[in-house]
Amino acid sequence: MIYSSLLFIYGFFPAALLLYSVTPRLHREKTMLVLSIIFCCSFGLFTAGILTLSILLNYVAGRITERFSSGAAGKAVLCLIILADIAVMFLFRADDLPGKTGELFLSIAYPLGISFFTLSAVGYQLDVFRGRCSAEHDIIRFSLYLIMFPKLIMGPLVSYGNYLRISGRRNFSIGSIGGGLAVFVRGLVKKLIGADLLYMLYSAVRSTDTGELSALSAWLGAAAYLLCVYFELSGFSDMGTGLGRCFGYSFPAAFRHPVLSSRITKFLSRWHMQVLHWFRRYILEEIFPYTPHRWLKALVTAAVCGMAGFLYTFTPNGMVCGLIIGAAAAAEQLPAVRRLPRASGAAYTFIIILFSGVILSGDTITGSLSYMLAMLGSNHSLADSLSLYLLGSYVLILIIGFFVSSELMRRSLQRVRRSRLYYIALAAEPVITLAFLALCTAMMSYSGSSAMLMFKL
Amino acid sequence: MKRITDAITAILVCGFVLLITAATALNIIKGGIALPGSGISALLSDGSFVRSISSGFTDSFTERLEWISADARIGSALGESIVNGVYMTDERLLDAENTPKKAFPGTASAVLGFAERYDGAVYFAAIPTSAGVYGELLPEYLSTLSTNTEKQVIDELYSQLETGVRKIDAYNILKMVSDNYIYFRTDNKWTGYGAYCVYRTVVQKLGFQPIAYDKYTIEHLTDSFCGELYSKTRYMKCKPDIIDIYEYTGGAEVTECTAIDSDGREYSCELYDRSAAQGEDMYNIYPGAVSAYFRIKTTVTNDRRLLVIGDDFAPAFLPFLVQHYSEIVMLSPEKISGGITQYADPDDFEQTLFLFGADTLCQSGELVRLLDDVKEE
Repeated sequence: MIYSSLLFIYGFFPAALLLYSVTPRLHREKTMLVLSIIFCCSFGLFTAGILTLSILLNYVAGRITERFSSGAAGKAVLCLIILADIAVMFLFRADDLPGKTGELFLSIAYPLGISFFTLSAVGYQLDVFRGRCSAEHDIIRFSLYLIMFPKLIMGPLVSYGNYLRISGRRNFSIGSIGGGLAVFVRGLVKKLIGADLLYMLYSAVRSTDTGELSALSAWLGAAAYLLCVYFELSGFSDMGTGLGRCFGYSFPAAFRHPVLSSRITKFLSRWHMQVLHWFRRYILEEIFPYTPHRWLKALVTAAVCGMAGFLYTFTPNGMVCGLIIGAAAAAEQLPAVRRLPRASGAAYTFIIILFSGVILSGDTITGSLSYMLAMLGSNHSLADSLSLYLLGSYVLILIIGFFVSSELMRRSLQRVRRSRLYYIALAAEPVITLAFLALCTAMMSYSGSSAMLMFKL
Repeated sequence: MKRITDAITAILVCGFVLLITAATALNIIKGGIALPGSGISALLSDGSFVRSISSGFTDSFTERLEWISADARIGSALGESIVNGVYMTDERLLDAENTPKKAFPGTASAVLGFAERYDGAVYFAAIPTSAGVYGELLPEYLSTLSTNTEKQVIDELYSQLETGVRKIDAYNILKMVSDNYIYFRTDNKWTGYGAYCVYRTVVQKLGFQPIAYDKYTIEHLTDSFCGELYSKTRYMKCKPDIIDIYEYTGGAEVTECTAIDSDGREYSCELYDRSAAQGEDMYNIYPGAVSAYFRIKTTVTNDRRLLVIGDDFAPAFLPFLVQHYSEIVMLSPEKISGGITQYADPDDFEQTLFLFGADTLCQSGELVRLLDDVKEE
């Protein structure tokens, strides 16, 4: 069951909200855990069993690590539990693991959100080991941190300390439900109207042989892919954040209009912020004290970005995509690059992000390279009937897509907030939210869901 | 002010959601939800339990047809020509699922195995869908996929069906007469006339002379047929379809029709089910459209028997064969849960005709399953 389905929106969600609202405040965490377990069970009881076992192991390991944090036993337990957590993620996500072709794995449903589950668990263990937070004694609260259904599929990803703060300041009210629903519907719109429509453009380009692709078609496909990835990831993050808010949890947003940023570093500070923050906090900051040279720091930054890229696809392409972005971010520290005017920065950032997207989207590096060559006109065709048809059909959604995913939208929103328009927009919000929910319902009414996922994180 | 609008949003949206949930729940209580047969294992392993609940919930969703129609109308108003995988033109609706096509693995070897096992002659007719024949109406990137690959699927399959199976080139026959009303405007399947055009060739391969078109009395049974593609969009700019039935008054007559449905219930019936013209799916007018097994006995005295194994394309084809055989049996693999021999022994038939749409050949492994069953027997 995913958020963008009729069963979730009109079945699970209202039932969950009703149950949660009639539960006395003291027992709401328990109710939320029961609801989250039911949500996990939608991927199959076997999968839910593996997740439960992993929760128990992490709970026990956290307690042991805390008790023996300065000794070898604590370090050994920490290493073992981190390896176990990563092994579970690899087990589900890596398609070509030896022996994974057996019937057992083919028949098990893929647990969406296993990557976020793993990152949360590993982050918790490291925080406990470093003394940034105490090991949790309350198994209910700890379980909820890992499998809470509003943040299970694609985040929001928060450290355990932050989660405790958010959980402690829970505010469940009619206002929080309304605010949450508005964010949830915004995420739904991003997924159904942004990601799904642009995926049609992308797949139309991808269905054409790369050797016959005109340059315009190739650029359209690359742009569609970039926006599609943004809308899907930020859509699910918004849906998760919105759901959390409906139940009183104020999780932070994961994206801040990153497309068309003026620098790669700015892009990285706005793209999937919590995931990239995780890599910074738990890997970069752990390694940096041992890297005295600037060039070594740059190398480590690129490598960690490569790991983050790998997380998206679990393929070499994902890693290469991350490495390129990481290398570009490191290169930006050079004075010559820093001095580049804002417009040039925006141009090279866009080109690097777009070409990295091409690598991310490819099955192989060579396939992606041929696609890039097609973008550069290697097929001796700048535009053909396909590209003109696609441009005519999708130009509007591409323009809107780039606008809403970029800083332009952020600035426009800021301007609106300072003007009288803000009150008009605020007054119209309930009707607009309802209208978009009805539109999304119509769009899901045939298949029952929008289950197309580019990344199964 | 933000608090007030948030509260209004909560009341409006929650009210809307609860209203729909309650109406859908009522529909579910009335109709129920079919759960997967393998209950516990589905619940334990692959999530199919929840998938089937989700599918049942969607089917029971309140005013679902209106929602689907609204989706198509909004899409059309916004200039979107593809809705729910259907390409909408003024002329017709076409399947625009952007998926690469390939015959289901093992289809050719299963048919060859069948041909080897039995003494009778085996014929194979792979029929393109309307998107295969009218692919030029689709946007270029889709027409490349549907036209070429449907043709490629058929060509590739035929190249694998070496000796022992006689192949019928329905694709080129239909392509040649594509200016005529050979496919429904609102469905993937052919019309009675489309079936007749292929019949003219098929029946000669089967060893008979075709009945001339003008010998048939054609009755327009309904002019309001809206096919499967319409049901995906509930909206169309083109006209609904006509269902014709063909009767050769001076020819052989049908003496008996027996059908067995997918639940194993046997019953007598007429060649054409005229009552289906008032039903939800008017295509069920054609013989055997709803049954797993359909047997026709005729007054033809040549004692020749034909076994037809086919999908949704076969029922419109069957009436033309009535003039040539004393007995015809049609089996629909998708509606049969057991093996062929539960219904008929292929050795009793001197000819077997496989007749499948290209879409079924790509998507469904039921034919392979059915023939595997024969191999085991």
